[in-house]
Amino acid sequence: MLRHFKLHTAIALSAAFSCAVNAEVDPMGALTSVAQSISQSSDGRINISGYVNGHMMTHYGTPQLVGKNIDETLYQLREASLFIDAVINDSLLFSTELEMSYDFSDKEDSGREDSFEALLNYYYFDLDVSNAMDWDSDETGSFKVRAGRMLVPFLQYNENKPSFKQSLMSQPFTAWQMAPVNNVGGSFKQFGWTDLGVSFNYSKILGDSGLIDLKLSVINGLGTESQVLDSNTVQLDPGGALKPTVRPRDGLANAKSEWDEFGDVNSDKAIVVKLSYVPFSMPLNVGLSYYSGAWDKDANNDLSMTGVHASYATKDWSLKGEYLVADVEQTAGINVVTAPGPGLNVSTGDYEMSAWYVEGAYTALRYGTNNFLKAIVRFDAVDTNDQAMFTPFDRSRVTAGLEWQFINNVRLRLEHQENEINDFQNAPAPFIAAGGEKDISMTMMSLIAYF
Amino acid sequence: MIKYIQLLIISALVSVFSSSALAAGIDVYITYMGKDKTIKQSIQNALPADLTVKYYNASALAMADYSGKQKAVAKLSKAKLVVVIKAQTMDILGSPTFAKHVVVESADASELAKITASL
Repeated sequence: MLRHFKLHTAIALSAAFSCAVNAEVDPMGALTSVAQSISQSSDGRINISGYVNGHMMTHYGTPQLVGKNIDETLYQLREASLFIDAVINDSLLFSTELEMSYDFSDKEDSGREDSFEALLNYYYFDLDVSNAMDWDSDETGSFKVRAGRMLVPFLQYNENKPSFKQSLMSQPFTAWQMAPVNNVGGSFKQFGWTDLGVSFNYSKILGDSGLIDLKLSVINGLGTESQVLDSNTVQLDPGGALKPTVRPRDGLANAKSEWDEFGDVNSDKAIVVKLSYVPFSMPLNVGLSYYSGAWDKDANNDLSMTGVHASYATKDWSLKGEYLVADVEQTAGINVVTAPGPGLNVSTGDYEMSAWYVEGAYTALRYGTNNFLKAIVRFDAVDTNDQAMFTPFDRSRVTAGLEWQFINNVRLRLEHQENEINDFQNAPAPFIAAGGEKDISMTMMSLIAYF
Repeated sequence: MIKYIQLLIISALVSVFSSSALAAGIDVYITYMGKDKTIKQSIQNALPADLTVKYYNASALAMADYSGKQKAVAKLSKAKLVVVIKAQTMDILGSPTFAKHVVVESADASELAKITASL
């Protein structure tokens, strides 16, 4: 397995070096030209951009599951996305993202039902009210309204979820187990936390000091039809006849709605508030986010999340991070998820989730027109249930990576993670028998191209 | 569910390609950074009154999501002329290709003449 990974890494690096020495290779430049032609031929009404990324990922130390084994190397065209902005007039736009993906892996390893998936990740209208009303936004501030299925404005990662906007391909715990931006490993589609609703955005320049931005959104919200919020189940395969079904308590990924889901699990809407500030004196962006909504069918149990984000970016250095804590109301009980399991399907009642990450990056080399080599390191931790005796998602992690832009807008990334599960002494016997270990590692190589 | 999405897309496309839905022509879009409001005001005062002029403060992109830049460029592209105050603003917009644009560094007479010549 590792031998294959090294072989494919060598092949990819060779291909990248070949492209890098041939300065005339510029597929993304060609695609940009095509997009510009489309825009010009539609009199600027249709504007297209996009990106594609693929990854080869190998874990070590995860338990064998029935129908899924991510310790095997997975090969996936993770996203091929087209962003389309249709200009209705200079104040009103319609935006959508067509996301496609393809799984080259064995379905028994990836657990994915269909190799090819296509979906509309978001689709919304965006109205610039201040522009439509001819307000002097320097005086009044800028006011916009967005309606439809949109990326939920919460913390910083979600609204910047495309891989080319990030330095690492893997996502931090705040955007994996908590804010359900994506859930790679668990699922390989619908990247980004999107939901149906309306968002109001007010921003204003405060003299010479900086820019303040407030987003207030009313959305369907996170929820499940189950009696527990983290209702995901997996079936451990420890060998032998007994294959217990357990809840991994992997956070909120299962609580986000599908891209074509218009209904809500309950009659209550969720409120999301994001307040950000950018001072003009330094390249800093800080903000506070808050989410509140009922998650169950009867709207009796609330989920609330409070988080902060900060980023500081210069030309060569960047430092960013998020901290998030969530309170979940839930009724305690035994085996509230119907599948049988040796004591794992107990609801803990009310619980708290928390996650944080800090990520630093340094561009060590710049050459050619726009090429660079960047080193990245990220520290993060998560606890998806502070009341549970054991969850594999009470863990800390270190991620180290390299990002190399070797031709225009095409990047190769290598990253390695070392996870450590807390309270592993409480891990149930079937988890260990299925191959689950205290230390989990992951190595990934990915290729990203955008235009 | 799919039919609702199809309906949504069809509605959007009809709107986009319906000429009646398009706004009246914008002659000039002035785009600038927040710290250059004074220059923007001077250019605004110097332009002929019969022109339809709109403004875009590119400082807002610091808060925009990842598609904010594309949306801003799409909006600006609706003008016959885009006046960009300072090259840094052009960089922040991602150095897009406009049908016609002029970059000015100040509101001096020579810079204003560049705008007038482009009208």
